[in-house]
Amino acid sequence: MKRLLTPLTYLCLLLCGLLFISPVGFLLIGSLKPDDLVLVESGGWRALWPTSASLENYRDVFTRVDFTRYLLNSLFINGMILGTGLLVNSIAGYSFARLPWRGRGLLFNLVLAVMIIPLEAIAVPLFYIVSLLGWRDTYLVQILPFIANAFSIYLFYTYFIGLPRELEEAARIDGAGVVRTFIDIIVPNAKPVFASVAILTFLTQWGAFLWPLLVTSSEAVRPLPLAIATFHGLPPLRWGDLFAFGVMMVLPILSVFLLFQRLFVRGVAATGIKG
Amino acid sequence: MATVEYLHIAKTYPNGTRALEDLNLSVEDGEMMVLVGPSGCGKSTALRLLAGLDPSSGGELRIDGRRVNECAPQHRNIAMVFQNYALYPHMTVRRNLEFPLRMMKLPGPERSRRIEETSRMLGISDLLERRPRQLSGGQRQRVAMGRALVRKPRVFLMDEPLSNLDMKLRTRIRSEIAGLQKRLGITTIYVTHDQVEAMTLGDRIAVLKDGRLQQCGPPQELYDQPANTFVGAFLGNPGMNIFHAWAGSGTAALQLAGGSWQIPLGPLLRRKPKLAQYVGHPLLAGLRPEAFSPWQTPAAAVLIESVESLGHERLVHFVPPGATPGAKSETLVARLPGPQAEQPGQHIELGFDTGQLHLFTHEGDAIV
Repeated sequence: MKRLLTPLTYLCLLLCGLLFISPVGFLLIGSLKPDDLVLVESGGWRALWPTSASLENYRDVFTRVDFTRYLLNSLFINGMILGTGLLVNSIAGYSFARLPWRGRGLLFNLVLAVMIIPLEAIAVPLFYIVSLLGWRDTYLVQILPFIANAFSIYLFYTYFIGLPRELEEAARIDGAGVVRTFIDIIVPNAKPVFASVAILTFLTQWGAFLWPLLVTSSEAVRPLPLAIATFHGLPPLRWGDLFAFGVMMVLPILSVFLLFQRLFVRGVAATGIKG
Repeated sequence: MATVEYLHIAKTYPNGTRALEDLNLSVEDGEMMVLVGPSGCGKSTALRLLAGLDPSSGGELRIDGRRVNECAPQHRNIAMVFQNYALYPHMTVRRNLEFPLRMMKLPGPERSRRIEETSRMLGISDLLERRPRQLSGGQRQRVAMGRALVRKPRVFLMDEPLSNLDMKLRTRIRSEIAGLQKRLGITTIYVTHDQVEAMTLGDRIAVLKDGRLQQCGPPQELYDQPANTFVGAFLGNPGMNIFHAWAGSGTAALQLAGGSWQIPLGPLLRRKPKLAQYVGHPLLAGLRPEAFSPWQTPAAAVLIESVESLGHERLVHFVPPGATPGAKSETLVARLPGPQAEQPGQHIELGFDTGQLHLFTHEGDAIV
């Protein structure tokens, strides 16, 4: 019985795996097919079979729109959010977890409360504020509101609170101040949570659509999600090109995930995030 | 090297827990002071206050006569070994030792010289390139000591540094710590709940209970002349037997353990003049297990409850005849030489050396 169960389990797992990977496979293989075959072959197993594969669609994307510009915009905006976000949120999380200051508990509860407010709910007042400040149609307006992130602060907080307090106390006795302790002792021991926050931030921000749509109008500062929407509406509608655009949009996020995957898994386990 | 003074130190935590009350203690230059007491007695708190890791709620802390209450830990020039060692896990042993030296902004060659010197002294020279997770418990303990010693601190604090080691290693490192402290002459405050560690390591011992200092003095003095029943029962393994006594005003004898033993009051009053004030009052008596002997007078026929044989000696748990049968608190213990000779349930004649009898008030304070 047991000998029969093991292959059956593997078969089930394999089918589940195929089911999960098939949309990505469809996207990747579709991007390699001639435009007229993409939809024709999408109904059966041929959807996952690269009939007359070529990189033609990719070349089309670059000739039809300024893809490099959008990619650089997205990389710059996300890089800035990621870099400054890791710095600001980790410091905030550490401060909530360890530093004694008046009103810490109240403020932390407020931060937690902010987590449940969706962007859609505050988009209009936020739009009003940035319009008053004259920040519309800039990189700044796409970066600044997303640096401080309640969920990231919460993740850092839960990780830091679990680090042995003696490590910091030893560092303080050894002569390190708060900043030096944070940089030399805390950060090197918190790589998993940094990786988790990096991946989660990148995942969320890479696909940001509503906010850039509200606050940007020129192509010069627009990110990839807006560009793919524009591309979709750009005649003639070519599914092969659209698929190629999609693949190139997914690649950076996939590589970031693969880069930090090992640390991310450890971080998820340590911070207790449930998938 | 430095002196340390706790002057009327109090510590109340935000949740209202009183960890220390009016602690007065001074540690001499180069002295090894051991703070000992049961869990929650405030000994670790006393150490943390001196380290600057927690603020005191009142009183003054002095190092070398200078008030340090407001000084940040990094400005007190003290070093501390933690119970779990608190080695930096991402650094090699060399980098762990180097960290305090870098914070002192010492030049590179001087840092290397000190690391070499300290690692040679502690026998960890061949571990310098390893990370803490690659070390055994004993090696981690040495590295933690090294990190504390490498900066040549004025005061060395140790918070139960041996509690994570097995018994054999603990005994070895205990003697190494004692030797090192004597050789370097660094003023050391050592916290432990283990009275054997306290007795063997300390130049002086301070016994704490419920945040209050019970007694402070050289180990032998505390063992021989405990200030109260708590100190008597805490030091020694097993601790002092404490039982009821009565110096009746109408009789000329001190009745011990419900009249199990009686001894003449006269000689006792000459030895302990203050006893006169307590004649007619209920008292407490204390006898160390080794004070009992089958050949001493006064003797009484006691009932053996159990015997623990330790090879060269035995611990005999017994109930004196005047005690209430079955009352656990009235079971006493005697340390007798040689292998087991008695059986549980048997009656034997047991007396004690009256010179070793301690008397306490009903509240537990020693009568001298």
